[in-house]
Amino acid sequence: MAHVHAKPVEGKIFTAPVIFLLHVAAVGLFFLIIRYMYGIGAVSNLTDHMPWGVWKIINVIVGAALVCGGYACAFTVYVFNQGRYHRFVRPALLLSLLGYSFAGFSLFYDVGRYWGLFNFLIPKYWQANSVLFEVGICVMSYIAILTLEIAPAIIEKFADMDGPVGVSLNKFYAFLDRFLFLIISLGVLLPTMHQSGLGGLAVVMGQKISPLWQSPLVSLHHLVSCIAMGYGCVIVTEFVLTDEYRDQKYMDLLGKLATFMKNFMFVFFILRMSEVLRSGALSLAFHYDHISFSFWAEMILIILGIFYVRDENARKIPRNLFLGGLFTMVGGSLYRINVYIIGFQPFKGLSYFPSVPELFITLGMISLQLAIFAIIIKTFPILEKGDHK
Amino acid sequence: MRKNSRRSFLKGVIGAGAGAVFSSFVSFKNAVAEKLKERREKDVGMLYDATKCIGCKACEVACKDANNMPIEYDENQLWDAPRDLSSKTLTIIKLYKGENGEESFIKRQCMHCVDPVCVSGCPTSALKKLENGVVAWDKDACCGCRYCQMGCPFSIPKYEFDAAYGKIVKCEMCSNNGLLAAGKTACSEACPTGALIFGKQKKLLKIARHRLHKHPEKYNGKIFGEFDSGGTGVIYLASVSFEKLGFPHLPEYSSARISEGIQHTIYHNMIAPIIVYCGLALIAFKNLRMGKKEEE
Amino acid sequence: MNGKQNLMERRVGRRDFLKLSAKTAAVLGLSPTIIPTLCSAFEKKDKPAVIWVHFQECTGCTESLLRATEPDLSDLIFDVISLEYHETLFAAAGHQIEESLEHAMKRYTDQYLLVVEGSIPSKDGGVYCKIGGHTAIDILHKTAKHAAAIISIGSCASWGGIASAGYNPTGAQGVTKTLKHLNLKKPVINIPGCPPNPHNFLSTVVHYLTYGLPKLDSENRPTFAYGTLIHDQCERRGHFDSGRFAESFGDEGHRKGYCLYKLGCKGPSTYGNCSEQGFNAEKKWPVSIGHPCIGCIESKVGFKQSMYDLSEMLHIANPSQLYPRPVHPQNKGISPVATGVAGAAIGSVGTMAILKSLTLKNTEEEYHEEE
Repeated sequence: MAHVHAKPVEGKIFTAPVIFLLHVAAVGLFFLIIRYMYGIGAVSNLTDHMPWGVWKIINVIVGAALVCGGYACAFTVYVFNQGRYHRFVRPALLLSLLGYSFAGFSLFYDVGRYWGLFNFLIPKYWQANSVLFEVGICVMSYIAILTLEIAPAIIEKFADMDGPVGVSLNKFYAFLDRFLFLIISLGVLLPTMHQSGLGGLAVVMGQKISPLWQSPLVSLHHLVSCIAMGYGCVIVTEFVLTDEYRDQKYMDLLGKLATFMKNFMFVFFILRMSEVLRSGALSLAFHYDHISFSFWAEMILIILGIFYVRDENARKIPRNLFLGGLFTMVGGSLYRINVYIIGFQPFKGLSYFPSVPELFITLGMISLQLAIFAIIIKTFPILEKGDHK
Repeated sequence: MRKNSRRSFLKGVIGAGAGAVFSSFVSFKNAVAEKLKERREKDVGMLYDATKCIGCKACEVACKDANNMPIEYDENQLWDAPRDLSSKTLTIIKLYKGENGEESFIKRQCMHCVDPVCVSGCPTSALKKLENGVVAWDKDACCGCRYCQMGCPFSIPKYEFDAAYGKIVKCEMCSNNGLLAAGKTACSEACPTGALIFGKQKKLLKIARHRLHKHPEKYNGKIFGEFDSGGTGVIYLASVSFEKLGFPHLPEYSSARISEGIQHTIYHNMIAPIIVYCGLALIAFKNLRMGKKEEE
Repeated sequence: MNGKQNLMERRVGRRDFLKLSAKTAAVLGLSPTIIPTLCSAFEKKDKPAVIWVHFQECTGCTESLLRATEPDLSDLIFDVISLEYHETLFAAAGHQIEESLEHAMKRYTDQYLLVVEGSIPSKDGGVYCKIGGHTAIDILHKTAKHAAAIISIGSCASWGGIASAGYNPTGAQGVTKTLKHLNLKKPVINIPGCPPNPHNFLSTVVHYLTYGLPKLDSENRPTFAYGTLIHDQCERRGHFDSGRFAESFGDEGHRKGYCLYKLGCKGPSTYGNCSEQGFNAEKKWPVSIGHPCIGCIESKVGFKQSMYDLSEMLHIANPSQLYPRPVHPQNKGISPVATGVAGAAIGSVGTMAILKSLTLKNTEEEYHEEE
């Protein structure tokens, strides 16, 4: 831990973008209040035929996948012993913590009987056959682990404090340092379980999900793509937050991450196409409907994500890294939307598009996450040296 | 050093991928091979014979009455005529009209499956298969996640989207209004033609098979729910094909078996996760110690 | 002179009288076995006095009564009862008729039946209706004080009727409300309608003579006439239940005699026996000739709701003959605003990404320059 040279980003905390994001969040919060007063139907276009919409799919599933940077970096750094990537860990972990916390919070407004969510903690109600149960327990535990993993960054800010608080904080810091390997390992095991679980949710839905996406390997698809998306997210975040790409050494590091991203995305692509071909579903991709459009859009995004970072020369160019990461993230997100919304066709003629309040709640939560992220990196030592924006 | 680690990483990834694919196929095979759930002796259910149904809707009325369900109007807000199952309507009679004059009524409600997907998917045990075969909902356990709605192959469970504190609503075979305890259901009691009969599932299957055997020309040759999605508590006979009556074409096992098969194989007694965790912890410990030594 | 003597004098045959009794019994929904009782009631009792006052009215209710047929009731009834005051039917006028009224009230005090036709204006001291220099309120007060019972005939007397439409410039109100303001407690029977079926009035009078007050609903209307919805007895109900509607006047559905609900028929929210009894010998009523009911009986419907607005449904309708099809997905529709919001969100992220990649592209060129 000693070789981390992070410090808070300089500059005004409440910049114009942050204020804009907070405004969007406020609108979202307003609609949330209406949701709690009048029910889900009052603010969304969810129906009995389409019970899961943008809240579950985007805020929870896509949201959790995009922030897998923490997961991807954790095992790159600590399991594969690639300490060079250490500087990327903290911002990735912070994004992960925020992403997962908000994914958890999103459940509190998406589910109909949110007080029943506490039943996940009561053994009498556990139903271990359910994939959703496993996902819930894993996500809850993982948020706790993420908090412990990010704790050093928070503690460092108060490291100079005098008195009993400073002493106990330092003791806690040392304690965390000693048992880091246990925490990190959980931080690798738990996401493996629940990210594949988020995919495994699709298995019970059987033929209600189009064969273009349904497969016994759907949990593996989710797992592999989320790792790639995690790397992609780290890359994109670095480009957005810093100008470090001018530094050659930094570009080498980022390029390596892009290699990992490419490999995982490639494996994901192979696994996906092999399943589509094996099940004979490819013919569905040529029906002239929104399902086939979305399928090809997903494929194109994945291929673009791989293409931009295809070889060493391509990875030397900053723009390529940025676009590769971006397309990977968008492609992976579209994949999840395809599995659970577009590909979810219990009967013909079903259509769903979120309503305005529903959209604002989704956008509001995302905006709030980004705003809090911006505020925290400016108040705590998360990002590492160099010129910061 | 870099190239080697990259190559080995690649190898690792491909190896892992291959391993995962293999194990998934194995677990899929296991899942199907995993013992299918069977009908039990005590399980009760219903037999609906569409050829005897006259569409009088007495069953709909009796169900509303017995369960104190509110009125649900049609689109014009004129008639007490719900269009579909909903949070206010537990059972419904629908009509299929074909081109060549073929017609059939069809009654829809919860199928009370032998291997219910909703029960398997529910994370907090809100949906349970009772001793008598009925699939019932527990309001204290439910968190409203609506995974049951996503999973049900017949899209039966409904949710009260228009309520601040919504419930999941579906037919519970009168187990919650005292009628089942008295050995009947409201709908089957109301049926004037005997199109809908209530009884032990195994006995009803026998009756259905007998009817198919005696009057094959009246029926389409299949008992829906005998094996569909692992078998259902409410079984159907009809003259028109079941696809036309709105039933999906389902395999002979429930998708719950596949999901549970995969879960059981991977997480059986939590052996695999624990082993993986120990391995990861060891590696991480070594790497961290090496890192500290390098610094010193 | 009692009823029988009177009838004999008028040369009303027994047959005609029996016809009257039978018709009255039928309207009242009574069994034919009641007829002898009715007859003896007429025969034995003294003719009850009736004082009939008019206020803000069109005289339609009186005219409707005069059009009653089977038998010609104007002769018979006005001899079954003793009509002591009626502005339309009396030859007398001016002071003469005023004296007649005073005389009748004195002679039959606490015994006469008061029939009120027309609404009573209440604004500005009630100046909008003055007869012989007295306001309607004063006349009502004077005549109601010593009446045995009061019958409000027509919607105007029952609740204000057409005079109370719109913003009710005269403050027109019915008898019940006026008596409340005057603090007079009297039994009131309302026979709303514009005009009401004359037999509703006649049967009420006969019932009153024979048995006393008929069974009344919460608005003091006799339940034998106003106990069921017009919709529930309508001859076109089958069309309603099967979803066969006239969509516009003169279209095919209208010509075929389909239900007029969509043209604004207020049958489903109006209580009355128009559909059962009809209005004349041919038993015709508005719907039977192709015009939707306008709900003239109901204070909340008639002259308040547009004739052509859809009626409220007061009762649970029967299960329809319409069946849903096996599969029909619920879709909540795609709002253009929502697409706009989503588009804006995606667009802004996309624009930022493009801008970012453009700045990066510049950097790439810088690299090349440096090299």
